[in-house]
Amino acid sequence: MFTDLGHLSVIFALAACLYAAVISPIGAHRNDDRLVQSGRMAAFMTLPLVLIGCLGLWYALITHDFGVKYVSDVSSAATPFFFRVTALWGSQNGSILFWCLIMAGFVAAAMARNWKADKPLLPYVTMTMALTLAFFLFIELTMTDAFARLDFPPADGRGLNPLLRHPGMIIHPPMLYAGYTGLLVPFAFCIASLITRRTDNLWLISSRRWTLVGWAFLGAGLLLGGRWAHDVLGWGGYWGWDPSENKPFITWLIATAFLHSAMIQEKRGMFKNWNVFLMMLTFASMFFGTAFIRSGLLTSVHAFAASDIGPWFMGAMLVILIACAVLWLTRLDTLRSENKLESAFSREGIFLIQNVLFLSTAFTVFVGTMFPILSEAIAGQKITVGPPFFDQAAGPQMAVLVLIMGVAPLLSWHKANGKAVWQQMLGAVIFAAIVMAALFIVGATQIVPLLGFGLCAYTLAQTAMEFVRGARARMKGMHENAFTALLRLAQKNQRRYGGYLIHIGIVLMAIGALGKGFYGTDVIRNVKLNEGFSVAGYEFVYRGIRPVPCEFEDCQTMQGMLLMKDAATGNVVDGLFPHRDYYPIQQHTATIPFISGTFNNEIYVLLAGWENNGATASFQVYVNPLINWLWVGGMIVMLGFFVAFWPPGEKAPSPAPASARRMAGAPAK
Amino acid sequence: MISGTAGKREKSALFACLLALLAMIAVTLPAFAQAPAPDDETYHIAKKLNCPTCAGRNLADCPTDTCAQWKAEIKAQLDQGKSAQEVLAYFENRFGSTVLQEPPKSGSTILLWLAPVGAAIALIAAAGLVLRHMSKRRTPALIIADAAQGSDDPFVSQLEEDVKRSQ
Repeated sequence: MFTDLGHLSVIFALAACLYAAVISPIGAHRNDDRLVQSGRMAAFMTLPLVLIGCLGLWYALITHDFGVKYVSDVSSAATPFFFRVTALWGSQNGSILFWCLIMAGFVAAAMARNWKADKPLLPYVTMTMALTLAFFLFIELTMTDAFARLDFPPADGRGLNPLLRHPGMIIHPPMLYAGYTGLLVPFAFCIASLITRRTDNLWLISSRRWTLVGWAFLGAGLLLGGRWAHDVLGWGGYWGWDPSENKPFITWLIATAFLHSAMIQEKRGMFKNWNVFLMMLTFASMFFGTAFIRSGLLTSVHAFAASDIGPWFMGAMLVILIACAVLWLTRLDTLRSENKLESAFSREGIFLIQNVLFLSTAFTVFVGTMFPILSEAIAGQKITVGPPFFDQAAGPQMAVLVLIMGVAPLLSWHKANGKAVWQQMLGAVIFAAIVMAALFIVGATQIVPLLGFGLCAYTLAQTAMEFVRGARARMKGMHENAFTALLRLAQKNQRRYGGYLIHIGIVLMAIGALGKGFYGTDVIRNVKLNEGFSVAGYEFVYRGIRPVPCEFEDCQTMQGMLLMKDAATGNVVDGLFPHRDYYPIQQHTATIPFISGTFNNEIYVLLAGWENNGATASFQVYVNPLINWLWVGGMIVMLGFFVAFWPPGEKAPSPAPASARRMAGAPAK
Repeated sequence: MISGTAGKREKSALFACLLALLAMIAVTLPAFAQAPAPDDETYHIAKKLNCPTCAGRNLADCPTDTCAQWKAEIKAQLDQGKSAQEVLAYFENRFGSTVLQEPPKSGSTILLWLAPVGAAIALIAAAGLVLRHMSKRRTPALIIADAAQGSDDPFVSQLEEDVKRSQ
């Protein structure tokens, strides 16, 4: 009963969306604020309405209402309460409803904000957001109905997909959804600005923080997805260039380019048409990515989300592309630069180069992801593109981006002074050279990773120097101690220093990727009971397998036991217990790794199989050097986001003397 | 560099920074010390092949029976004394280049490899042209206005900024 009420509520939400999308532009056209406000309220109301829909489905999940098809698909009587709650996004139909909920959340938040300064944009922001939400609600209600009932309710459901029973999966999908749908807000502002023919930067400034939120959620979602693949999928690594990873990654890359080029428009009033283009591309890639993963056109670990909604998405995609192109081309006159470029050797210039590199990286990932489909359509042969392509084609471009990260902050706006830039680079260059020499002596003699580590060392030192320079200036000018100076420095210019923190995090992640990519090894070994094999300075002795109680009621677990010894001394370092979980209902086997080793040298072991009741067994051992730097780097990126995003507090007391202000706040000279 | 003493301080700060980072790197060194362990050849050849039954995954990671047969085939050929290259070539001849994880940089799949390179070069060239075009399109009046804005002296330009900010 309550579930059907939820269904009805979602239908009302769709009606509210359509009403808002129609009434808002009419209100703007007639200059009738009451209509505009009415549209705003209607759009706001989608949040409670979709929420009631979700509560309805949650109610069915929690009360084991297997008469609802979705409930019997994703849960069973044995499914614990916690996973009955998260099962809402455990499969296609429910996850689209949940997607609508998060999108409605962003719509409501955008409607509820203070619309004093940017009121002219309101009707069209409402329209754009309501239309997008309406599309997803329409898909939910017609194609992927989560409320559909079965004529003959089964006695028990099938249970949640075993792959999704991981804490990472609980937050990873909501994060990605929030990232995707969060980017709808700046897109709506962009469209509204174009429709109303505004020539200023209002849309960009009004939606700045939203873009950052969307970007951060997307990044966090990708990171958690990587952790999930590492912990549950038994990939041995963190990234598999799977289509379902590539699509959000493409959007993230384009959004990153936009975040940077938006700065140029804010500071210099330039590249306006470029920013509009980037924003549209961000949104289009989001839509396209969703369509492809959801439609099951690409096989991936997300195959459980496959269905026949592809044509609808493609149709909508076409409409969006045409609408965007028309809007962009007819408004080019409003997007003229306010200022002229003085020199290509400037912050503006290097930002543009960086922007196109982000785009070409995104394009590379796109081509690799789409090539199987393209080759099948054109040549009739489905060519699989594995990770080696992405590593070789996208890797070097990302390396150049790391270099630019270490150079761009040194270039001032307008026109940079080559000699001064070189002087500032020198210290970090020497540092990088020392690091490379040290690594070479220690045995990292492969040329490519050596250069990569050198690059990372350079950019890391350079970015750290940004903090040191700023803090030193404050210490000198304001007589603060180092800690206060650093804190105040970041407080004074949160976006700038938050950004640098993010840069540091990205460099650490690059170090992790280099370590894992070039120095990671993996072996598979078949061993007899009480015999051993050695890898990476450790000896692994096989001590048998045994069945253990499974974490969940619907599975059986077989656990392997390995003793990990230091090969040199023979001392036991750790006991390793990787296991395999077999789910008879879903006919699925999950290979759960056991992780050991040191911070810098992770040992990751999988139980690959066994014969004769465990007389022999096979183990897969991954040695993942520096992979933990990646997770630490990711956390620093998130910290940087919070620094950049945190609402600025009250201004720091006592006005700074001009000299201190000059050095602390000014762009690096 | 701002002035003599500040420059010196900056250098010492940079040096301290260097030391800290070097210490950090030193901790990571054990990661590079080991030589790669000798590997199961079959496994590593299988990693370079696609599995016919596990879509989108490599042969080594796929647990199906078909894949077990393929792996046995690899092992048999290695036992006959074939090299890894020869085994890969055998699979490529038999099933076509679709069987390889890494599409060859020749034939029709060269397009895949050229696309990113072409895109990167084209985009950077375009950006370069746009920058050149934008920086050439200057009127004398703008140059005068810019002269006041874009001074090389950091103090003057900061003064400009401060004045602007206070307005």
